Amino acid sequence: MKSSRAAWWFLAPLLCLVAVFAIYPLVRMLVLSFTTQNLETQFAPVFAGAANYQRAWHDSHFWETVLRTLVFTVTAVGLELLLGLAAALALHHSFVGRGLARTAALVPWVLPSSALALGWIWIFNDQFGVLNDLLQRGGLLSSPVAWLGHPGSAFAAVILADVWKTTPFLTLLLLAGLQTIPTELYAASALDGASRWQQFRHITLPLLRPVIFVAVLFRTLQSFGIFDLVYVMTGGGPGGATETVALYTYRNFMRYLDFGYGAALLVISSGILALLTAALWLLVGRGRSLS
Amino acid sequence: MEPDGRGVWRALFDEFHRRNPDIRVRAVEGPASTDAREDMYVNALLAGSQDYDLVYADTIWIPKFAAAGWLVDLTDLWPAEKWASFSEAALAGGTYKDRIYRVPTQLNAGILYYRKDLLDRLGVAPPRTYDELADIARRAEAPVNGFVWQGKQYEGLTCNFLEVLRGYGGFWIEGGEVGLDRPEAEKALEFLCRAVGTISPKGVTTYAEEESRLLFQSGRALFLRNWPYVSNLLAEAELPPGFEVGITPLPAPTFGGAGFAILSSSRSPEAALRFLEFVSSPEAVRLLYDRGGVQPALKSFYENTDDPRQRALYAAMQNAAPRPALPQYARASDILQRQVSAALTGQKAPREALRQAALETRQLLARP
Amino acid sequence: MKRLPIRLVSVLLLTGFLAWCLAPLWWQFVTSLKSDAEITTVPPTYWPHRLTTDHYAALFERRPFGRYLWNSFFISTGATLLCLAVATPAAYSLARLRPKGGRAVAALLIAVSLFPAITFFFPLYEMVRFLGLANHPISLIVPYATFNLPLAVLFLVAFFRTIPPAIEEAGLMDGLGRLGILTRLILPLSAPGLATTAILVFIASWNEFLLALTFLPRDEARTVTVAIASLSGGSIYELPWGQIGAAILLSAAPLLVLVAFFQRRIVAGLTQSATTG
Repeated sequence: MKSSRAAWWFLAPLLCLVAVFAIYPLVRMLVLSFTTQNLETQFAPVFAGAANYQRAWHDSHFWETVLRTLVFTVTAVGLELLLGLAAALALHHSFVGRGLARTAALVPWVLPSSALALGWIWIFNDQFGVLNDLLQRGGLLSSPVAWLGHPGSAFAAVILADVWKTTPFLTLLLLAGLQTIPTELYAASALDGASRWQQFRHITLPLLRPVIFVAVLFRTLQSFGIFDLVYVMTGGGPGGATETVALYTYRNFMRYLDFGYGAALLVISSGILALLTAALWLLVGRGRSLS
Repeated sequence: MEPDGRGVWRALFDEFHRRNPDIRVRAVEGPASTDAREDMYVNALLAGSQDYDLVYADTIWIPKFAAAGWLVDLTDLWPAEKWASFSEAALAGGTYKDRIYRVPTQLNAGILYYRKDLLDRLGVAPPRTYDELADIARRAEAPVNGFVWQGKQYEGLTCNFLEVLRGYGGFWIEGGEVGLDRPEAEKALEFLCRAVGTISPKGVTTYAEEESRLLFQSGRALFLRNWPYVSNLLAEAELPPGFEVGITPLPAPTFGGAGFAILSSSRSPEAALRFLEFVSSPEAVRLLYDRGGVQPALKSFYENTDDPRQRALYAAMQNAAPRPALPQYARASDILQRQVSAALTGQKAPREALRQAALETRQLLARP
Repeated sequence: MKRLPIRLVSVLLLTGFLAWCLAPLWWQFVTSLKSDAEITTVPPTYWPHRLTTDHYAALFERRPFGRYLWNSFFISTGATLLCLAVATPAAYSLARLRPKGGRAVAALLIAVSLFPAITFFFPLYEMVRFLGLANHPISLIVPYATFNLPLAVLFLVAFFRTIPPAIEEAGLMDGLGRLGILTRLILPLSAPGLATTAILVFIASWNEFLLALTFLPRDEARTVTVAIASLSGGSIYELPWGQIGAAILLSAAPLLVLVAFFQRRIVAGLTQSATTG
């Protein structure tokens, strides 16, 4: 009894902060999404019912950004997982310079995205960029390309930047996961005549699943909300080819000053996020509770 | 404030300080792009931070800032005659709902530059319509391109498209009407789409001002659509032999100049007003022009000049028309840019792109 | 016979991995040491012909770059301290006192951590405006501390569980209250766990962009991540690539130092939060 009261006292500061700076904003967003609050109303909130949601339903541009962000998320996270898994498997056996690799792997992860984004602009520069030079030296390119100037290549460039940043980190997580798998399992299955692929399929993958699930879930949520990288690297262009949901939502607030509508878009994208989480859970995380 | 790498504005502030020792102007250099600079101000204003007294505002910000109640109405602060000393186009660019919110310091509008030497050789006069322009541009011989302009997706594309649209007799948004799905608009967009890869290089869809200027300046284009700053740069630059620059009005140039406005949250509006007095004085205008090529917005400057180039520029910009004065201009322009860019890069047919743009623009205007 | 190739292969793999991780940053480093003229030579040079530190100097002379770094440092440190101060008792409570509803609190924390920052920024922005806290470091310190609470709590919970309960029982026998046990017995033993948590929160706060972009509009108040993004050159059309390279390195430097010294701990912390998360 006494101990329980102390327990709640210890939790009180946390609950206060979370209530004021996390729960309140969520509720406030929900409320705001049912009002019109923009330039036309001189920033005064006017109750609008579901008007913002109706408008969002017909806002084809919004749905384009949703689709684009989904494609981005699936591609980026998929590539990261594949590359990360390959790297982790390769580095797992007879691993030279473990500390060095670990430090290096943390470098991309630790760098500020906004700074990185500028770095990538420079690397992708059409006239003086190092990428064009390397590709031309390697005979892969005959004339320089304005990577960030065309819809397809700009989208690919943003994916590359994201994959670069997070793959080493994923590699580290998967490496840690691999180390928890007892080697006896492999020895036993080798005796049974299992091939490398069968071992991977029946031992490595199932045992890594919890790590994969958590990693993929957090990366998916992060990718879906990606903002700073695109904001700095492409500003959403060219032709809107790299405009993500977060960027478009941000524009509704800070550029179009359409607060009620922006809030509705946020509520909708949160709903999509919830669906994504559920889908991932069904796909990868089955049989495993979140906490 | 825009970036001040050449120290032009610093010179202006020094002069102001010399004359007004009791006032200190502190300039904050913002990012280079107009949108990012707008964000910088909007951020400060929305957050209620009283960091700025004056804004060096692009013409397209005025309706939004004025509608939000962020700008001081300057109309009655000066007599009508004083306002009349500014170019009409520049003044209109700082007006919202018949009230003046901004002192124009820069006259800026679309200009058609052409290779006078090559046109003379072809024996033709500078074009007056886009069809004439295309006819002449088709006769350009490689490696000289016919016509370069700004086709990248950004505010510049809106300006370019709007000029062609108006040149074909169409309109974008007027009196609550949207003209984007009318035949004139289709003709205008088809003209630009046809140009890409024929009279204009394929890469034009990634060009902003500088890419197109450098191409023209290096002698590889017959016509260039750009702003007056190019004229000053061309005058200073070393040009290929035989290169002669011609300046002629576009059929319907878009206005795009900047100027100073006072923020309602300013803590020293009096000092800000004194700065506006100073910056619109002939001496300050002269200084900005001589040191930094800032195109003056005062009529008297052009009346008193002997420079034929300046007269030609003024003539070319006189009937420049502003972009629609909507508080929601940013969204309208984003819609237009996206669709026009999609058509130019071949992702959509012009008619389809315009229908979509018209639909979204109508939705925008229909909202309360 | 089989040994040598495997060793060779793993060295090659390691080299490839290192190149992938470090090359983009390395390129910024090279660029930051080149003169402006050399930066725009075609083809680019892979090591400067003449080294210059002009760009680094320019950052501090032409802009308040030291100020930006200080702002970032102050805000990140403040957020880290606040976060730890709040997360430690909470984590202790969840790990050891196990109140009824403790699982609900943990679930709440996880749920909150699923939302991206953009979901929260506007209501927080309204608060900042209402309280007149624009440009004030506190406007970022408190939200950053809050956003990092889930990570900090989950991690510390896992850490506290590794401490033998016998220690606490001894404390109770000595008549220490719960607070006394936490501060006198548990905290000294938890230094490694606290340090790892602090590093992770510090890094996350240092790198945050969206709130920093909107809550601190004044130039001198900016954090380094936002300041970098608005670096611009002499005219509207050019970007100062040398200075940008220098700024990228300087903005990353404190984090790189942390990584160099604490890589083992950071990795342990991250993998633990992912495997127990």
